[in-house]
Amino acid sequence: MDAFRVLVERESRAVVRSCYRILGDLHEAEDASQEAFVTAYRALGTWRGEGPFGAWLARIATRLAVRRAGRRRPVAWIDPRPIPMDGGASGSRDSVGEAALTAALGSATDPAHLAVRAERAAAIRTAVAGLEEPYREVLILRFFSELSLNEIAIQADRPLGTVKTHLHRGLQRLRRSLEAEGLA
Amino acid sequence: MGERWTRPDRFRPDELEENAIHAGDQAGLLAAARELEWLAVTDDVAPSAGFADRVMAAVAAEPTPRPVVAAASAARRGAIFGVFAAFGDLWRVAWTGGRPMAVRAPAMAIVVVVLAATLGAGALGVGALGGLLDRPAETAQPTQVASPSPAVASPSPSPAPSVSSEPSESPEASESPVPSETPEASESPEASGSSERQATPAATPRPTATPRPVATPRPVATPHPTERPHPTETPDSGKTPNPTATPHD
Repeated sequence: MDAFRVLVERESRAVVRSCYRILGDLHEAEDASQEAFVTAYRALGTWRGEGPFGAWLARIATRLAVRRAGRRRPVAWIDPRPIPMDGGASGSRDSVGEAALTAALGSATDPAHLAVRAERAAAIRTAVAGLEEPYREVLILRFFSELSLNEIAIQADRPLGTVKTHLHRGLQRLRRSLEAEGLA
Repeated sequence: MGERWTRPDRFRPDELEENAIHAGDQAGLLAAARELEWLAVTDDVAPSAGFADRVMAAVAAEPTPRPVVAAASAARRGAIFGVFAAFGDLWRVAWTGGRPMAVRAPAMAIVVVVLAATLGAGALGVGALGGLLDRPAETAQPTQVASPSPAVASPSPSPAPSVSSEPSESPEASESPVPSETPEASESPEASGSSERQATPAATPRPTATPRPVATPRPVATPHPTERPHPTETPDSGKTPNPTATPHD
């Protein structure tokens, strides 16, 4: 139990973050994360020991979160929290999509910007949730759980080339879906 | 259970080097990826205080993961798929590393016992099946031989030779059965000519059926009775030869 507590404390932030990116609500994300931890504890005997434990846990959590998201009605949450500008994806930004990013993040406290950001986030979540498997899973694990393609290949038990193909096609489909929503 | 993995870099199209990407497609892929990365940046949250305690409380309420117990309970419930799944878990626990021996040993024991029981039952089943097959093989041979032989023989005559032989036999028997089949003369209305003349007296006076055995040799002399005056002249229906005339009478 103590060893599992260490795992919970180490992985909880990443797991909750992944679930939050899918669900858009912190309370729901924590519920899904807790369910994921309990499920993982119950299924510890089935863990094959391939790849990091966090990647295995992330796959469980994102599946549970997607299932939760599919059970509820789509809601656009307006989150008044200040937006972290130095997120995990920091680094040199490409010009593609930068304008939209800057526009959305431009004013963290402006209610109008918050509303726009919430609507945009909800639209992206809806578009991701509307993707078919396995494209949805690959996109979620790559962008929301921040797994590498190698880790996704190990966890999903698929060849790396197949995962790359799924990522490629998933992004294409997401692009078309966002264009249909007028977001891209 | 290694250290937490490092975050991957921002998406670059060269991650998909095995998939040919067109120039126009590349911009679209990047745009979609940036949308997802934007969402990931803005949704960077942390769990609330006490989250780990709540998780551990929920975990403590769960029974300890014991694949042996799971397999036993599935077998007790009679859940076949549950038993198979539990056996798969046991196999993994037993033969994959990274687990303490206290967990692996019971799993190994169960796997070995199940395998031995399966192999033993299989061997017994094969032996019993072999014994069953040996016994009836001797007694059932005649029945098995008898049943296929007519089955084989029946189709062989039916196709060609039997048909050819039947007509050959029919003329032979036609001589003998012709007298016996003289009642065909009653069917003579279908026929025409001399048989009609014979039919008319045969049909009108019913006792004509009695002389039929006497008339058996008549087929040989079929032309003669037509010339015989007695039956034909008695009704004087030579002018009205048709049997249709008799009903009018």
